[in-house]
Amino acid sequence: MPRAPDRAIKLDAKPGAIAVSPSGEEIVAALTNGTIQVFSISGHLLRSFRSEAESYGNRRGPFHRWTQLAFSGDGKLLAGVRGGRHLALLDARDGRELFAFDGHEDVINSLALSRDGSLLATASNDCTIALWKSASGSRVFSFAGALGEASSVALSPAGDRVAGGWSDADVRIVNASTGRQEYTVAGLSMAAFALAFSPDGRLLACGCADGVVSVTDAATGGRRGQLVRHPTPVGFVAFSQDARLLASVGLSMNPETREAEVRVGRMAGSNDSVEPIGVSHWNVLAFTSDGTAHVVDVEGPTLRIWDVRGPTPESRA
Amino acid sequence: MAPLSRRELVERCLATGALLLAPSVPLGLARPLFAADVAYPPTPPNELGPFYKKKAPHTSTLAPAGAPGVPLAVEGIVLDTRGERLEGAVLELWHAGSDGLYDNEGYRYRGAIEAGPKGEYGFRTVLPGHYVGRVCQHIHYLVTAPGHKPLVTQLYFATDPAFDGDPDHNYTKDPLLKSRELIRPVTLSGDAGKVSARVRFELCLQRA
Repeated sequence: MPRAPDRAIKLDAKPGAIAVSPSGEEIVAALTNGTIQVFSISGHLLRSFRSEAESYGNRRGPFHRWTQLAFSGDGKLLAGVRGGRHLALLDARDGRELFAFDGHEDVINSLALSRDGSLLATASNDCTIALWKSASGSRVFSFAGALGEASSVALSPAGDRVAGGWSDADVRIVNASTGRQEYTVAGLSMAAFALAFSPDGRLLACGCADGVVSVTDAATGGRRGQLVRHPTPVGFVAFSQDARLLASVGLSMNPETREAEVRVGRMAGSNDSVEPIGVSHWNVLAFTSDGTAHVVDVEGPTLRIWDVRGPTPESRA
Repeated sequence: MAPLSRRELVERCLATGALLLAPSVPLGLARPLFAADVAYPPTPPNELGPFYKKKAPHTSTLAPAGAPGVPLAVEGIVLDTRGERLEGAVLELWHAGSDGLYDNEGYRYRGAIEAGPKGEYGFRTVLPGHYVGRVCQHIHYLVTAPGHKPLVTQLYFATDPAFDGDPDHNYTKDPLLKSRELIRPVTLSGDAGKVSARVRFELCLQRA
């Protein structure tokens, strides 16, 4: 029997996009009524502001609603996608729009901000990943995959590497300065829906459509481990802040059972904490500094939160 | 209608299960074979989608034995824009089962085949189900041949209830279906309880 959420946040409207801060302490939800709200991970409303995109929303309808959000590593900035492919940078404290620009020719599926927010990486249905200077919207580079749409992207904490995942099961690591490919992650059979660098930048985790979570050395591409396969596609992966734990959560594909797993453990898999949770097919994940993984999902106009402890320190050794 | 993001697509990958055949759709075979001296337009591309899986088994029978759904046979020819038939072209094929779900752990409803000496190909499976968000039943194709650009496309069915018997006007219901040409006529045969379907889908690749 899947575990029920530990708490829920009732929203005023359905969200169009959500994100959780890298510290795991804050959740942001951009609602389809034009409000952006920030909650603590314990479920309390911290601040709320009207999105400047609301004016677009009134004038042009849902095409200009927020569809993606991402925090910068320091939690001070937010990057967002409106209407599928219009990018904007916001002050995470008050929602003030700092800059907006267009770049991709098709829908943006994923975005990531660097630690200080100066760089923004995007993955698009136009088959490219791109790196942008957030302050100016100037493109540092664009990198096209071989066959398929770009489905996921991650930026290393130092901002020196971009990882891109394509629907033809390619995951490529690209040098952020030169735009040149450093290597391709080997051994993947299906698209990586989720990518994450460890906080020290040394590891890259790939969560794939066939349920596999693969961990590679971010500098060389050499395989470092593989978690036991999830029974459903993996929707999100995250490292703990000490880089010792990795959590992954599946996408529930069956609307009746709504069952997916969350796994927290080291990378070998044998000591993983595995819990079936009744999570929906739209979820995000982050660790707080105490080593607890928090899964946040969207169910109608409600955010639901599960707190998942990893293996005990003794069993981690 | 705004285009769907990957997340929206995935989150809508929910089974609907029901498979209906629209009786008002005229039945008939596909377009005639090509004349040899005509320049041919390339097959329109369509998204690879999130559920492509490498290393599909070499088989022309995609559905497992006893799989639920309407049996389907697909045939066609692989050629290039000069009309040259592409013997040995490799076709990777994948689709959802009649329940609308992809097999991502294994290789049910997935397979790879090679075109024959005259570029001909064929495979057997069942009509795909629907998943919400995509609107239409479809089969994914990735076609490769030496000296030619890979073709990523999808096959759709004129009998799809989503078209309400009029694919000319209703194909835009699916925001990812951007070309009417990818919707092929379906020949249905058999009694009401044992209907089977047959489709022709020619594939035209561009030279590299």
